[in-house]
Amino acid sequence: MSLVSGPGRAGATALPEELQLAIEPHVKYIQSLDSRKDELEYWLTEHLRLNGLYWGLTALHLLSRPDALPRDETIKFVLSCQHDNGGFGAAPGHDAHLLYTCSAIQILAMVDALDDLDNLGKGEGGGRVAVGKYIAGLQNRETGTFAGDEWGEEDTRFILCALNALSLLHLLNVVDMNKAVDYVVSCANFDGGYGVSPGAESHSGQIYACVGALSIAGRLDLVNKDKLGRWLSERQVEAGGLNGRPEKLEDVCYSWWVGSSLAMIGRLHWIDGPKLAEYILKCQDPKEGGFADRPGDMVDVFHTVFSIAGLSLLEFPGVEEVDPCYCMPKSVIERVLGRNG
Amino acid sequence: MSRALDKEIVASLQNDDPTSIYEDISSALCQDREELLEIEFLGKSHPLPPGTNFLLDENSIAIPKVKLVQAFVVARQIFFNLVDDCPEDKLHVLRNSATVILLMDPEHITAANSRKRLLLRAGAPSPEMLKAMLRKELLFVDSFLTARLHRHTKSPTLWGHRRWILEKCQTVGMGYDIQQDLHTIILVAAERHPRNYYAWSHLRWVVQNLCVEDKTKSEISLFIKDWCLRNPSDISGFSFLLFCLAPFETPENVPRSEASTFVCEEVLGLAVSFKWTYESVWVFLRTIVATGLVANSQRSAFLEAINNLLATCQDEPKARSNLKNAMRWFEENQQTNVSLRVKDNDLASVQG
Repeated sequence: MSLVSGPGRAGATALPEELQLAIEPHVKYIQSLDSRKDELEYWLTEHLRLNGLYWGLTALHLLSRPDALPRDETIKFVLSCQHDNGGFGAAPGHDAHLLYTCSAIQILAMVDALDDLDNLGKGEGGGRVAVGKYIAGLQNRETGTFAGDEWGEEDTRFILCALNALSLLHLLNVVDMNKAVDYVVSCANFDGGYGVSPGAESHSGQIYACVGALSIAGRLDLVNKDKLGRWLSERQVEAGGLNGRPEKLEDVCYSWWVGSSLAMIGRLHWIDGPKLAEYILKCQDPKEGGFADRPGDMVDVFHTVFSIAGLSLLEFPGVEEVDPCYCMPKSVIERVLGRNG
Repeated sequence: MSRALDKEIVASLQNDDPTSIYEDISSALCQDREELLEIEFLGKSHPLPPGTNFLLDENSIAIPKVKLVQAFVVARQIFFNLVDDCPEDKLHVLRNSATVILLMDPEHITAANSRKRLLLRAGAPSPEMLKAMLRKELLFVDSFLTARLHRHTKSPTLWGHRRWILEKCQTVGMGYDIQQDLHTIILVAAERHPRNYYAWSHLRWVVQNLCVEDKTKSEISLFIKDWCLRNPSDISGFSFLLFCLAPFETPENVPRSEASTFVCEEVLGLAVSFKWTYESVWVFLRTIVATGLVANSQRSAFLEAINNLLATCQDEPKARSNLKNAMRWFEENQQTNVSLRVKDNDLASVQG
């Protein structure tokens, strides 16, 4: 029984049935996570709930099912995670952190509820202003990088979190963009990649964060695209999947971290797209829904969204266009930023 | 990465009293110790007799995953009941619940942060008391970071927590022994979790921020070089070695190019002897040779080695691509830095 839905299936019909995108099961899988059907699993994932909601919602949007999660409850839940300092925790009662603040803003942007933030949000100045203040307070004004929270851990991932959220709020002016850009540039390694801090090992996830930050800042001109493209293209293994660093096992989530980085620097064609798409589809559970890190492993919503987003980059039929920097539907970014990509 | 529970674990969660499981596990786990605790999980292939929630043998503890999950549910409740405004007499209860939570999931930042707050909250204890508390906290995080637990050894939250503790130790004037740290904690984590990104970035931070003398840095570089040669498929080790040799930090490039050439020669020599085609080895070699900080002889030795090895691995596509990528990358990226090129006969005194 074919489970593919949506227009333009031309490419898909060439694939055997088990390598078609099983949309309805994926939608049902994501919906089931929200239903607290499995109470135990709900508690075990509480400390990343807001990330999980962002992952699930993004996947649903990319599968053209934006209404599959209840909008009002989503907004209410997100706002319940906000602290008086303007930042968001993973769930009510959990400490604020840039990782969850970024997801909160991305979710509200996707369901078009940034006004609700203005009306109902907490913190000094209220609404977007309070969130902007929280994020700005986490920038290291000397070096330009960002701490994740008051405890000071610095990581290039947090630069992207900060700029991603601030740009969606139209508040990039509250931080020192030049310093942030300089810091990212200082993280460029001789091998073309980027790491967690200057001189750190190149890593696909950190590369995505650094390139994404430069993209938001409009400074992709500062990237050595050929060198980085070369490093990223070497992530593709024989079986078609991508790994995160030399000699590591492939993991389907790297379809996103590597794929989007290549897309942002205009070199996605430097990997074998069809082979990657085939690998991604082998990681799905076509009956129960969801994607796993590798074929046959247990599925989870993290690998689900990055698989679907990866397929979107590869223009797989049945998947909406994703913005390679934000990992959100391109249509949402256009609406929020009021421009084309 | 998947936190999903398998159905068999879920199915076996009946009939047990979670509260007593929590009490049992937390008291074993949180006992006062002077040494690292070795922690392991037991899977369903190692069932324990009913009523037994862990195995403890001096400084080794093994906990069935099924029991830990149940203990976690209780820990979580206790934690969130106490975390806002915890009464003085319950501080240890809060701390213990955070320990169990972090054992279940090391990325639980609220639990990790609560431990920082508990340390800060201790009011103004005597310097000796604070140092003792910091030592205990370091022992806690180090036990998790060196455990045979896949996710804990590489956890950015736990490594970040360790950094915070070390910073506090510095501010109260506690000494820091990098060699001990390197051998008992950082490299242990690096070995138990190969290509351990956050362990190696922690080492970079330590070297750059905890007042490590140049002489010690050199010793460490040599030690890491030997470590890499014993772990040739570990890209993180080689990446750290490059960091040691890299010209980024100082303009004093001449000493560095002698070191680069020396290391390059040794790694290349072994790669040829053992016919290594590991991607990590060749990414390291192509990068260091391309930096322009090695003697000319190394450049030609590098290219010759690749050609010789290619002849020996005709049927190994991955090996061939590692070698060919190395050659191509080197050709595309080589730097020629005329003023700093080290002549071969200058090396005699270094290698002596």
